Amino acid sequence: MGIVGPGERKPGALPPVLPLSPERHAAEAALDSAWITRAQAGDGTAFDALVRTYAPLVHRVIGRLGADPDDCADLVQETFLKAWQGLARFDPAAPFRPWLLTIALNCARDAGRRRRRRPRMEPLDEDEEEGGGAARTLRAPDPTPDAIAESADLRDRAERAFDRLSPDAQAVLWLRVREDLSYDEIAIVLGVPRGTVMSRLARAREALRIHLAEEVD
Amino acid sequence: MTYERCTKLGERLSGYHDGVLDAAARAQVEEHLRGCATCRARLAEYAAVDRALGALSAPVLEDRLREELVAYTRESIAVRGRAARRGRLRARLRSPRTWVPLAAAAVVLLVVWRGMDLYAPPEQSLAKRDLSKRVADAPAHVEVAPGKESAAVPEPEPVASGPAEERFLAKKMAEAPAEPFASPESPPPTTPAPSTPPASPPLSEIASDATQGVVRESDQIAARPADKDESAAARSKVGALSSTVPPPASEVAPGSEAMSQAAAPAAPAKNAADTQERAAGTPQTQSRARGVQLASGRLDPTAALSIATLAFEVGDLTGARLALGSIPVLPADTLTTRAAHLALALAMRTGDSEDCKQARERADAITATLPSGPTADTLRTRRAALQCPP
Repeated sequence: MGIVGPGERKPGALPPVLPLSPERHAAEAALDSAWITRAQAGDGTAFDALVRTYAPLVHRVIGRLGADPDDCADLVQETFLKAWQGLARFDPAAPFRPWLLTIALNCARDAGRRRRRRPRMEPLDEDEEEGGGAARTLRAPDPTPDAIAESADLRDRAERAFDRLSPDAQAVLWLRVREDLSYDEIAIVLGVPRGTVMSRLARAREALRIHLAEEVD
Repeated sequence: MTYERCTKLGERLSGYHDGVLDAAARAQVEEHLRGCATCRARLAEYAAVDRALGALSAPVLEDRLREELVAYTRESIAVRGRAARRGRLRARLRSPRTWVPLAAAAVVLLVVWRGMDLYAPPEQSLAKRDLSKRVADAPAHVEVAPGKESAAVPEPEPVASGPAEERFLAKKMAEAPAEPFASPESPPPTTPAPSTPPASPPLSEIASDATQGVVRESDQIAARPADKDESAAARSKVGALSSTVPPPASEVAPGSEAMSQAAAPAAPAKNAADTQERAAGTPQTQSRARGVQLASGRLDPTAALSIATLAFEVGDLTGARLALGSIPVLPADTLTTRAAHLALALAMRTGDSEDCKQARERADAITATLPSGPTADTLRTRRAALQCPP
């Protein structure tokens, strides 16, 4: 079934309950800020709750958008430690998720530099494949209700097409479509203006569309 | 599939697809789409792109690993706190299985050798600390900031069985100031919330130090300061929910003038949270919530959610539970989803089996109805994080 894109309307299906709007995370934001405030006061269980809630997200993002899959577990740990260290300066009323993801991606990037990996620039096919293939071992396939053969085929084509994208394109697409971050949140995470997010998304969608079309051949 | 590119819309088509355009831009795009088959086709392609993205596999973090992560983070924070304070130890992050026992031993020895510092074994429960007193004395900053606590803070007892060094250190601890959050410990999942509910920490103190304006101070003290505190706290944190507080409250039971007083100042200045009043406010909230419920029989669900959130914020868990009872589980919409999140948070706080059961029911009902997506994922994640007595 996959993710229902925000612009997509499947006949008969429930519309997404909380579409792209500020209200979407109101409940979560309220609870998060309560947890954060308590964690700032020294409540260990509150920070545990934050870690427990957001660990899967951080793990997904680092696993998918980070450079080195071997580092993934360590990077997730490092992310939360850094979040803890920076928590005193964090306004509990501010959105937590993009802040946390900024830390996560910075950790991943720094780790990439430390390891002196090949710089990720033009997507050379063989390099992409190595990066994509290695990262793939981390993942468990999501169960889909579609016929197994059909979904596997789509997944393979999607994976190949996605791996051919530049890191910037992969990041905006994953954060927008899979993690459902708003444009503003993505702007925070990537450290770019909102307008840049929109143009990157447009270009990334176009690029992925082309790659997908080429997969058919 | 290839088609001529119409470049009139440019990136706005992508923005339209994501629903981020303002009304004027949206109208422009739709106007163009009416007459441009190329762009319509591209819009449809975006949907296909989304489907392809949805088909990508995502790394899955198993529950076991996640719990290890939680525990490991706790211990690392303890060590790092001491390390940063001393400025000399460099905590290295590697596999927790090999690192933690080695480092724990190394830290113990190092500290003994240096003759300073306190060792707080991870097994200690935060519940043993007098949280409210400590916070009242000096706001505890997350970062390492130790030593501001008054010596009157009761020290957590060290783990009974330990090397001689630990006992030596425990003695040292009794003399030295306590380090906030030095020994983060995850109380056993079935333990109910610590005796001093962490919701009690005075928000005003935290606000003045750590945050910027989450709770703003005001000189006005209303007739019922406790209610004002709750209104202020809830409003600043709950955001959209706050606007629903006043009207439903006025419909609610006539017997609860407390509620209407609290609700009446809908817009006004956010009031300071007075620590003592806040701590004392809990029984008042409880009776208020109960009074409201009893008098009205059933709360309007929107009001109930506001009350429940408000109550939860101030630590009145019973009140929160009561109010949640007035919110139906289904249909799956914004309100019930928020209620489910709140129920999960409540169950996580109390560890009570009935709370857990309710929370699970809500989460399950909604995720069964919703299409897959981040909303359902978050609910599932939080539901999975629940650790409840069988």
